[in-house]
Parts: sequence; C-alpha cells; structure tokens
Amino acid sequence: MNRKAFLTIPVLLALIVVLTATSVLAQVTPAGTQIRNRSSATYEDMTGNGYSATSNEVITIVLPVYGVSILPDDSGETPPVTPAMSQNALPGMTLYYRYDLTNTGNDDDDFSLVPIIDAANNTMGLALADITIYRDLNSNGIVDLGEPAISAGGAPGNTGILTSGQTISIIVSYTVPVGAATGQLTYVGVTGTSVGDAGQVDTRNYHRTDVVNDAVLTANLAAAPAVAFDGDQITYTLSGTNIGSNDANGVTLGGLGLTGVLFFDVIPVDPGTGNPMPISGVPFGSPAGGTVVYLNAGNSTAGNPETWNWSTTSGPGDIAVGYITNGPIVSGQSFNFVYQVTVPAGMTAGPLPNTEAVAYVDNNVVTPDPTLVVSNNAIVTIGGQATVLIGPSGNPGAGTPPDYDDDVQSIATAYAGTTVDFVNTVRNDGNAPDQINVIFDGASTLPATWGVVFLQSDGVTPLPDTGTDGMPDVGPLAPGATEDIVVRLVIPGDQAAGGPFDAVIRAQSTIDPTEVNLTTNQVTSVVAAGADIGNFLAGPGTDDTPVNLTTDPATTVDFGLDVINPSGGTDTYTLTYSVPAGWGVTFYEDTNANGVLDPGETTSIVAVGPIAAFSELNIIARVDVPAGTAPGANPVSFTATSVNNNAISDTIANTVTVNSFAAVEFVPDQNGSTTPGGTVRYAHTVTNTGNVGDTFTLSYVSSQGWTYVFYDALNNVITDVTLAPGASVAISVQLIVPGTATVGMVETATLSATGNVTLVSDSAIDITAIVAGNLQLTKAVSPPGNQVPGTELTYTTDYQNLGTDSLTTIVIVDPIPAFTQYRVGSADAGTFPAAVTGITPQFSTDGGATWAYSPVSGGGGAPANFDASVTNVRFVFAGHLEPGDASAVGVSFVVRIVAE
Amino acid sequence: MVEKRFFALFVFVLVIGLTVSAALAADSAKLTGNLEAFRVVVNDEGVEDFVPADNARPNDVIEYRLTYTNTGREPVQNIFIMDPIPPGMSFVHPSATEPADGRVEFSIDGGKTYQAWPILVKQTNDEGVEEVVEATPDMVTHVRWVLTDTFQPEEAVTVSYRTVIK
Repeated sequence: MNRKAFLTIPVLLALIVVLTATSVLAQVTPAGTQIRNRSSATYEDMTGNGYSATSNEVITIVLPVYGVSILPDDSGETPPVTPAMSQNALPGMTLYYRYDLTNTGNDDDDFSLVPIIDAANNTMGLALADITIYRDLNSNGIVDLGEPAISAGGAPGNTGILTSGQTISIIVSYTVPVGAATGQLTYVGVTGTSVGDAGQVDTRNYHRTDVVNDAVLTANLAAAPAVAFDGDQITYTLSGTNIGSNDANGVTLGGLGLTGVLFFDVIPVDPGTGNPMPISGVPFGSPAGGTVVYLNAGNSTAGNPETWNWSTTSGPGDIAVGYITNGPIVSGQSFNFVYQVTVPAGMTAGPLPNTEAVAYVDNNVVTPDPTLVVSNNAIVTIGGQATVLIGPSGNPGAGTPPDYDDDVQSIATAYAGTTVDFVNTVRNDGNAPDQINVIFDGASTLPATWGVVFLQSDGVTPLPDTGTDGMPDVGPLAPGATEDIVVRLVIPGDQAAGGPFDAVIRAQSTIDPTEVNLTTNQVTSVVAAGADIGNFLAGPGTDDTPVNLTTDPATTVDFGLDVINPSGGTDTYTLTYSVPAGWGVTFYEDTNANGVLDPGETTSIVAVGPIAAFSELNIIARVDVPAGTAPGANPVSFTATSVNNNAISDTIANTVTVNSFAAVEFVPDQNGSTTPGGTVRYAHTVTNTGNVGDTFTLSYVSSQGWTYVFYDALNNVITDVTLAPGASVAISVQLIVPGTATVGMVETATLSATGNVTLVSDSAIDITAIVAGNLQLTKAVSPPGNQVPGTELTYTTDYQNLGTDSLTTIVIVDPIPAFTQYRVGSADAGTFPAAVTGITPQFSTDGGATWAYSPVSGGGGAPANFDASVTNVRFVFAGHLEPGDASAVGVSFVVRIVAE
Repeated sequence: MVEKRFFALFVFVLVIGLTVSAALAADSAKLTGNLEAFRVVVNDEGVEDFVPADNARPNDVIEYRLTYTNTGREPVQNIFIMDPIPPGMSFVHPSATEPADGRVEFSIDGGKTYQAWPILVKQTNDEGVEEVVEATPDMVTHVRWVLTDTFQPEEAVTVSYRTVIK
C-alpha cells in the first residue's frame, strides 16, 4: 500500500475539478448515476434446510437538476441591514468584491452573470455600465493579468461550463466616481442564472461601498504552494497597504495590554478531523515592533476579535494566530503577516479555503469599531492520496510494511460440497472518497471449479458494481471509513482432498488503479467427500464386521445397513450391489432406523440422501435368493457411492448361506368313479422343490387293498422318478377295480413320492367311487332356495352316461315332495340325445306301486291345474344312451308348494 | 491486459458458484424475487401516482416493491427478505410495509444487526456528554422483513419501502 500522490501540480485544473466533483458526491447524486437495487431473501423448506434467493436488479438513472448559489448573501432588506460585504473607499479608488459561485446542480451547467445596483440607495451615482465582473481564476481576490471579464458594461455574460459542485471565484469591480463625496454610498450586487434551467437564479448579494475620508486598508492573502500533500508546509502571506487618507488606528487586546492594528487568521481546519492545522515555525509580520499572538485551543472565536483570549505563547492545537503592530498604520504604509502550517497526515483531499482579516479603528466616531477588512479567499488544494487496505475481518491494516500484502486468514479445514465465508475489511486510508473495487486476484490458487462470490456485509446481497466499471466495489468510501465484505468460496462436491487453497483478494482504488492491497483467505485443507456403508448398528456409526444370513432357496433375506456421510458437505449416495447371477437386490429406506423392513418402508430406492454432514441414514437391502440355488455360502456386497464425487465409495461385504433343502411336491388330489371290474387313471405331477437332486420312489396305500400301477408320460410302467433341483415330471396312476367289488364301495388311495436319499415325501389322495353304471343324474330346482307357500317349483334332472358302455332300459323316477302338488301337464321330456327315441312320463298315486294314473285338474282336492293325488313321477326312456351321451335339457316337472 | 485476465477468471468462477446454488434449490423449495421501482408523483388532486422509475432526479421519492413468490413445489417458511438502501439514496420513514404475519426491521450498521423502529443510538453531544437519541432515517442501511407464516406453492408476498434520491 505504498502511498501515492495521484495528482501532480501540472494538472492543477483537472485536479480541482475532480476533487470538487468528488466532494459533492455525498450531497447531490450526479446526473447519469445508475442507482442499482437488488433485494434478497433467505428461507427454509419445511424440514429446515436453508436457501437463499435474490431478486432482479432495478436500475434508476439520475436525471439532471440545476442550481446556482452565489455567496456571500446579504440579509435581504432594502437596503440590507447586513450587506454581503462592505468596504470604505476614497473617490477614484477601484474596488474588488469577491464572490463565490457554485454549481449546485448535479450536472454540468453554464451560468449567466449580470451586476445589479440598488437604485434607491446609490447616492454616489454608480452606473451599471461602470461595473465589470471578472473570473478570479486563482481566487486571490485581485484581478490578475489574463483573468477574463465575464460581464462588462452591465451586460450579462456567461461563466462557461462548470461541473456539478464546482465553485469558482468571481470579482465584481468598479471605480468609485471621482466626484463622489464623503458619506455617499452604493449597494451593488450580482445575479446568476442557470443556463440549464432559467428558473434557477441567485440574486441580490448586495455589498455596500461607503465613500470616506479616512483610512482604507487593502488585504490580499497569498497561499503557497497551490497543491500540498501530507507533511508539506503551507505559507500564508497577508499583505496590504493603507490606501486611505488617514491613519488606521490600533485596537487594544486588553488581556495582553497591547494596542495596534491586528492582522489575524482563524487557522484552517482539516475537515476530516475538525482540528486546526498545526503552526509550523514562528509567524512574523511588519511593520516591525509588533507582537505575534495566539488563540490557544479551547477558546472561542465568537464576537469582536479584540475580546478573544489571545496569548503571546503558542500551544498545541492553536485555533487562531495574529500579529498586532505597535501603533497605527499610517496613510500609505504597507504591512504584512506571514505564518506557516503543516499538512497533517491523512488530511482530507480537496480545496482548503482561507481568509484572513485586519482589525483597526478608523477616525469616524459614528461607525462602530473596530473596522474589519477581510482578505480574499486563498485556496490551497490538499492533494489526493489514494491508499486502500484490505485485510482479515476488523484488521484491514494487517500485513508487513510497506506493502501490507502478505496478510492471511485461514481456516484449517473445509469440506467438499460446502461454502466457506471469509469476512474481509476494506479501509480507505486515502484522503479522498474512493470507490474501492474488490477483485479476485490472479495470485489465487483456487481450482477453477471453485466458485467465488463477493457479498455485502449482510452476507446475502451481492457486492454491486456501483462504478459500472465491470468490477464489484464497496461503494464510495469516505477517508478513514471501513467496509466489511464477505468472500464466499463455493467448494465443489467433487473437490479432492488437498490444500492449501488461497483466495487472494485485491482491493483497488478507482482514483488511482495502481494503488492496490492484497489479502489472502486460505483454506488450509479440504476434506473430500466421503462414503461409509456398513452393517446396521443401533445408534451412531456402522458395523463393518461381515454379516452372514442363512436361508432357504426361494426366499428373501434382509440386511440392515447404515450409510454415513463422513464429510462436511451434504451428499447423496447411489446404491449398488454385487450378488450371484440370478439373484436380485432391492434397497429400501429404513425410515425408523430399526434395522428391519417395516410396513410403510416398502418404497424401493436406488439412492439414499441427501444426508447431512456427519449424519447417517439407515437402509435395508433385501436379497432375493432364487429357487434351486445350490446350498452353500454366497458373497453379497453393497456399495454406496458419493454423488458429489463418484470416485468416492464404500462397500460392505456380507454373505448369504443357502441351506441344503430337500423337498418334493406330489399333486393334485383326484376324484373319480368306475364300475366293478372297471379301470380308472389319474394324472399327477411330481416336482423336486428342493435344491438337491434325488430319486423319488413312487408308492401307494389302497384302502381296499387294490392294486395301482404308475406310468410315465410315454406310458411305460415306472416305480420311481429322478429329479434335479427344481425339476418336475408328469406321471399317471391306474387303478383296476376287481370284479368282486360292490356298488357303493369307496376306494381311497394315498400316493407318495419319497426321496431315496433325502427321505422327503409328499402325497396325493385319489378317491374312487364304485358305481353300478355310469349314469350320472343331476337334479336342480328353480327357483332355488327358500320359497313362500304358493310358489311353483320346477325340478329338472339332467343325465349323462359317464361310462364306457351303452345304457338301456333307463327309467328316471322322482317322488312328488311332501307339501307340494303336481301341476297337471308339467312333466316334460326335455331335449334328449339322438340315441334316445322317446321319453314317456308316467304317474303313480300309490307311492310307485302302480303307474296307470292320469293327473286331472283339481284332483285330490288341489286347486285348479294341480293334482294332489300324484305321489310319484317317472320318465321311461325308449332307445339307449351312448357312452358320453347327455341330456341337452333334462326331464322336468312342476309342483306347487301347498298354500292352503 | 493483466487486469482483464483477473476479471475473466472471476466471472467464470462466479458462474460456477451460481450454478451450484441453483442445483441445490432446483429440486425442492424455491422462492423467486421480483423487484420494481416506482417514482412517486403527487398529482394536482394530491393523489399519488406511480411512474416506473427508469430515471429520476435528486429529491424524487422512489418506492421499491419487492414481490417474493413460492415457485417451488413445497411450502417454505422462515422467510427473511432483505434490501440494502442503494448508494445515493436515503430511506424514508415511515414507509416500509408492516407485514400481516411478521415484522419489519432496520439496520444502521450495514446489515450486521437489525432492530424495530425506533433505533436508538449513543452519541456524544457538544458538551461531551454521551446521550441516547433516535436514529434518523438517513442512517438506515438495510430494510428487512421477517415473515412468520408458511408460504404454500404459488403463494406470494409484496412489501415496499420508499427512498429519496440524495
């Protein structure tokens, strides 16, 4: 941070412009300024994860406003009680009244100036044409050679373009008419009008000139050098002459007992500190024989300077200094007063005005005493020095002189996938407001994948580009002011372990871009993303001891697992597995962390997370063991891979031991019927449902002691089957019923397949009914179920020849159920197979002993259409039933439930 | 030339940084902010009109309106909306919206701390005596709204405040 003077004397005019504009920045925002605003928000989701958002940026461009100020003002009355200035003069004397005109607008502007005279109070008869307004380029109160006239002959004239806030000195000058008499006066003022906005006018500013026959003192103040920097000496030289017609008499400093003409100055103040500049060396004056006086710190400068608490001894912080002559200044006598001040370190840059004054007593007993003659304003420019500092939070001056660039703040450890905030403090150690840019310096050693974000001290709002120079900045910073910024480093999730990583931040003056200072924010070590998967452990941590689970084929086993994010950044982990071919794995989140898959945890996952730093989630790996899997131990492993950095993973290796598992299945159970001497064959399937091969002996147990024979699919007689694990075979078994069997017998056979080695066995049961024939009758009633009295019921009997022979002489006999009455004419032969040539219904009234009855309506006391005397119905078939023949529509009749 | 290279690097990494943040927020909760600036113009009837503040003059009053909308698929909560008073402007008090559910706070220290109005500051007066006085609006550096209600998807809030251009 070498201190650098950024302006040198040859560019004096430019310097004044720059500094004036800068000093106004804090008051009126310049036209063309872009006022930028961007808001931000932080918020959380419902689980408390934090987020932030920023709005769009809105820009408002500041438009010009115009204004003009001319000082000093008068007090406003006509004539003013207190004029802007006043001077005594002799006839024929040329007067110079110095005013300051300031462009109070926020943009460049031109100003029209014209003198004015208070015509009612102009006894000396001055004419506007007599008045000239000059530009006082060096502000010394005197019209020097080369200083131009703005207005002459009373006509308006323009100042030329002034920048916003720029102040220029003008001199209103005229010569007192030669014929003016003592006691005559005039009031002269000046009007300034903005060219940019003619409504912006500053007028009046009346000063007063009295024609006297008395002492008239001039007072010109010179200051050198024109531009001063830290430590420079400024020499103020007040000089003047009594150009009047009479002596200037002395004032009396009562406290010191001194009487003489007093030349004095309230010492200029450093605007940054409010302290007077320190006097350097010993002031001196002429005519000789006078005394240097000081106004020590803490005294008042209010009121008549005769009454101030002057001292002949200087002290620290003196606020005024003077020279009192020993006696009057006689007509024609010259005088001067010289003293020096030192520019203090860090003094605010900009124009430093100063006026001195002479106090004396005139010879007119009417006017109040003392008479004060104020000098011109002698302006010294305090040169701007840009000095910027940036350093760790609260310590912008950290580092080794003279450059202060080697200061480092560091954090020992940061984690991939996180952000790290460093607070840096920027300080303007220059003496002018500086809009300090903040730049990510090329000396940084951050990998290109890292993010760097500059934020304001609130840690949320991006650092704006106030200067619209393409670089973020801390905004205009007053001399001595500090501003904190937040440097946020965004460490990518895939950052490998390592370090140190330096983010070197450069603060750079916009006044003098060569003035820079560096600070380093260092991440000493980055911890890479991590992954840790292990077996379930109630509580924190994982168990990396392999787990073996034992199971049978065609089952599933569940491994409870823990996945831990051992790094400092939130991460998600993809889940993969390695198992024997044909096996499957499904992962589930174990939301209640009990190591067991519970109802409600059945949504499968392929990744788990996000998992917060140093946190753990539980999962279940459900392993499908297929049927037929050979017995023995099988390796299974589960891997969690970091999404942040897919080079990072962890695996837990476990085993599944498959039991030796023997099983056989013999299905299905069968039912059938046959006649004595008949045969029946049943189909079955035998399956080896275990994981070991075996030969299964086929056996049976017959309830009747009958004989069964097993056949394979090719109809070869077999006594056993050999099956590999999972294999199955179709077999059949045949029963031959002995001719001695009687109708109504029921045969139950238990058929078994039994492993020769494994001894596992399964059975099926076949049930065979021994029937006379093979006519199957199926009876149905409509409507079915419980019915109320009066309901008519239709009984239908379907028939089928199930046997392998034709059936002849078929009669289907049915009783009329109790509490019902036969409906006359309802017996119906239905629809019968072609081999049946006819079916004749017959009726009995005596329980089937005789079949000659013909039903009649109302028979047996029944209602009309019914016959209560019918006790049985039979259907007599003509023809025969071929094997397999069946009724299309069975034989049927209708009865009525007795309602009477 | 050297300057330019430094800057280019900065832009590059800045983009990366923003991408990371966006990726974090994309899947779940998302709040989107919109900021508008209006110049407050009092018409002949004494009624305020609002003109888009693309440009303005010193002493003009600017009303900033901040609308934050939940554009995500999940509710969001604990919303803090912050806006720094732009350089070249002074805060106008009272002008900051009082939210229905929540509060508005102000910072006079660059956003480090926030307090409800009035903010009391210690200062030493001309007699050298330390006294506590109310902060003036031009000392405000940040306005912040603390919202206590939960915002469902598509729910929005608009808050506003005014500044005057220096």
